[in-house]
Amino acid sequence: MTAFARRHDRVMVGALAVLCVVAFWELSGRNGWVNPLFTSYPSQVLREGIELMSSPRFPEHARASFLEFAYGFVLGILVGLPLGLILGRFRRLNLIFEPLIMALYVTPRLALLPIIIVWLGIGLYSKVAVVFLGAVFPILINVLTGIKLVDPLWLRAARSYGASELDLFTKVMLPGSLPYIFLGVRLGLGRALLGVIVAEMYVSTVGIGHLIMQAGEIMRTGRLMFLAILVSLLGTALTLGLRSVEGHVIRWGRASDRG
Amino acid sequence: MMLRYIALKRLFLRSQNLIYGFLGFVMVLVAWDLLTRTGLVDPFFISSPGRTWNALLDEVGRGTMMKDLAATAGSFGAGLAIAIVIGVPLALLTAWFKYIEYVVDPFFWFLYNVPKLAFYPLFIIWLGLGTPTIVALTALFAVFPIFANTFTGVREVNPLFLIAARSFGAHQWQLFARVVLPAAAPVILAGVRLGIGRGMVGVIIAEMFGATAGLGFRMNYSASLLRTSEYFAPLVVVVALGLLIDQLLRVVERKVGRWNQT
Repeated sequence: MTAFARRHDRVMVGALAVLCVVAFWELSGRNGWVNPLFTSYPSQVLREGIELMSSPRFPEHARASFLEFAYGFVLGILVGLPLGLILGRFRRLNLIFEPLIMALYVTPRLALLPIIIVWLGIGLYSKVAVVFLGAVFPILINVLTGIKLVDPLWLRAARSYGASELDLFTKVMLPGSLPYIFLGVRLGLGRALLGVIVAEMYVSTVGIGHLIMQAGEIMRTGRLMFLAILVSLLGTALTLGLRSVEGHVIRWGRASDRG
Repeated sequence: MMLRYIALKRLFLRSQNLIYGFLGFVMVLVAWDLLTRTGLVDPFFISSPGRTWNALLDEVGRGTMMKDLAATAGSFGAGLAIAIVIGVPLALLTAWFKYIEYVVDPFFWFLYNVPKLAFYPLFIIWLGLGTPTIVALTALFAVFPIFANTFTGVREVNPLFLIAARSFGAHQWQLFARVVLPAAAPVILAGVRLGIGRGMVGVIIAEMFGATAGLGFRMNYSASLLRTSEYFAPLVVVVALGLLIDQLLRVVERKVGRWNQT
């Protein structure tokens, strides 16, 4: 038993800490040490969560958020990936566009939210645009970086064995920059998720973000906490899923996380 | 003649990045101007460079720009300070003591994956509508990259440094203060740079959601009245500030990191 405990002490200590916090949270809410209106408590969070998820309107909200996320994120990949490859390949184009892209990258892109609403309305399209803007830049910039960092030795070697431009591109540059492409997609995923929630919280009539804002406005702290936990679990699940795909696709190295 | 040509060419090559980059910005401005001048897009929707410039001058002239800048800078500064004061020491402890890491780990990952704005309604309930909520949200946005980088920085200190210092008889504390901290400084600084970027996002969003002054408030206010030029003016300031701060910190980072290639 002690050997087992020692080997798994990371998990054990972590689980114990979580358990302690949850227990304390429950007690503080139930015994009125803290007003449950401010912090709720776990059993209330669970109860309100079940109540919310079994309500007939919930699937509609979930579906709206999912569609906004999926359209925007796929669009981000479809634009960011080819654009990054092109800009990484042609130096002059890159010199012209990189400062622009960097300017947009360091800008809080969610500051564009008000004008996007003016342009595209408060429905699906504005949300898709916000998700797209969140996802596309990390993808674009990391693809660009990946292409630039492909070892020139590999290129020279491939060329000296008579590889054509196309071969060079599909057989050396693309696989060579794959770790960065995945990193970009992973970072883009987080931004896209934030985009959905923020855009829906800002102005919307449907969606998880809308539910979060609503729960806050009517001070249903338990429901609010439940939704926050739900979104976090979703984000974690998506990230882990992507990591496992990544692990299967590339075995020769992973770019380290940044920002 | 030849010599002058070569000199010019060298000058061009050296400043090539700047010239091309400048070209990109000019192209966007020209395209924006042409779109509105030719009547292809109604300036009501996208304003125009001239209108935005006038709105900017107007806001500066009326003093609202200074007021907004001061409000945003105040909230941002306070939020960032809180993020650094909490993030750096906590990350140092977490990286140094194994069991603290085990305890902090699950909470960190949970919070890391939440879209931070989901806490906004909670902050409203706890702190009320106004500056405290904005500061709290800014801190929440900024603290994660600062924490993550500090942690990584401490963990990735060259183990040879530690062995060397230990074999010369350094105590835990000396090891920490004299070896680990200086070695991790560049990575921590990079984290602060990332934190500044995230903090800017936080402060602008929080102001968009509920404030009575600030750049984010001004953008939200102007856009909701469909005054696009008055929306673009603070946006230009936000973009310029973002670029300026980023470049500034890169210079500082290079200075700090010079003696230590990490």
